[in-house]
Amino acid sequence: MGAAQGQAEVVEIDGETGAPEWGADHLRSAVTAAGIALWSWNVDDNTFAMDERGFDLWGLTRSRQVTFEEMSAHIHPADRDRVRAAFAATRAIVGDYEIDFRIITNEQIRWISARGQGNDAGIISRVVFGVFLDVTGRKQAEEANELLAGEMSHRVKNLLAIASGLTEITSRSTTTTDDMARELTQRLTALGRAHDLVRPLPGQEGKAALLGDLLTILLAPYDDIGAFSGRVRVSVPRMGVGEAAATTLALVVHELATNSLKYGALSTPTGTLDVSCSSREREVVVVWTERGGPPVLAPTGPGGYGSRLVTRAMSAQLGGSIDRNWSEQGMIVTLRMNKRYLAT
Amino acid sequence: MSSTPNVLIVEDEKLLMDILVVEIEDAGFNVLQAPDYEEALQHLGGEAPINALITDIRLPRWRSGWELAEKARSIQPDLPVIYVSGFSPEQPRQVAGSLRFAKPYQISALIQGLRDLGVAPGPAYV
Repeated sequence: MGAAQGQAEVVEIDGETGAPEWGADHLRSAVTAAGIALWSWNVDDNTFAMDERGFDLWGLTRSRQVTFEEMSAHIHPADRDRVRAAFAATRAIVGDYEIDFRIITNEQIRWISARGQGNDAGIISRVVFGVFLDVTGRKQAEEANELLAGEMSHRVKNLLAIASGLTEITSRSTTTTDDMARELTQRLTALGRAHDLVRPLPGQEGKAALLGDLLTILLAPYDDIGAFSGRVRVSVPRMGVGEAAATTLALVVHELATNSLKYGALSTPTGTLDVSCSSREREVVVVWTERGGPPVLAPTGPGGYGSRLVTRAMSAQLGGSIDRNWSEQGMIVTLRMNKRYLAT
Repeated sequence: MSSTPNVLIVEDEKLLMDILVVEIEDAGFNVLQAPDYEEALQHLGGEAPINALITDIRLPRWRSGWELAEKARSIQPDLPVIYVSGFSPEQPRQVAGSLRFAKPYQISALIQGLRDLGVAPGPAYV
């Protein structure tokens, strides 16, 4: 049964097997819908014939046939030798083959997948047949995944390096393994809490945590100790803190709180801690006020590793400073942070 | 002639940089720091002499510690170099006589590495 010109034939069904009998028009429609380009390759003289889609895919002027060398000129230089060798090897492969490579058309790189059947299967008059597919989208997605995996690996290694560094620092500032285990765990926990609070910013690049949330979460464990809860009070305006700054602040708050717990207001059941904040044009100032603790004396010497790490971090990472006022009523710490640094 | 060697550290992980600086300064070195390739080059071309380079392999904006060390050696052919690597998609290409530590590393081992390369604080340090 023939079809009217321009109309696809109706699919006939084999009376015995019940299987559809696809006509040439059906196959052509399917090939077009799938974006497949057809090619044939003369294995003796290395000439290719392609359909219209093939020539468009390769950016070649349509002609009756092209040589492998003419096509090779469009293959990415880094893939050229591999593709040449792969095509030659297909003649000895039994079964289906798939060769992925890059071509350069109009200064753009596209990924092509050449597929066929090896071992000269289906060869007719020294010509084998196959298809080209444009797999640029898939390859770009794979490359993006690889980049992400590499970035994740780098980040994990950095975190392990940080943990290793904190272990060394903590080992120098403690005298027993119990103390070291507790201090190290608390430092790492503080960093973990800060990380939990950092969320992607809607419609913008980067992530941030709210300063008030950060301080509250980091100080919550210390508020439960002693006769009165509610002795740690946080009052700060609503402002965001960038991911890197949140990590630094977590370390700073942890060190101040740990010292307070050991020697300051939080070491007594009735001591109190007030954390307030003011925002100025270029800087944010956080004031940490301890009251009701034992009489404090300014320490002599450069301070321990934790203290030095905090002083360095405040300067280098937050563009600011830390000032300690050892008044008789209790310590007052003033943290000055550059707003631009706080947002990173 | 300063008895405190200047060590240029190139590391973009800020907290890790802080920890490194505290420990390495405590060991008697002076630390110059750079978060990326470009700032590192500014230090290498600056007034303060650089006595050693410690660089991460993976640097921001697709730069690598490999190329930074090669560039540094073109400026100071005998510069002691230590690489620290977490992950790098490139094949390694260390400059001659350099050391390489994988993350996570012990900072004390890094400091010993500086000494092994002849970089140590002291009154007669050149």
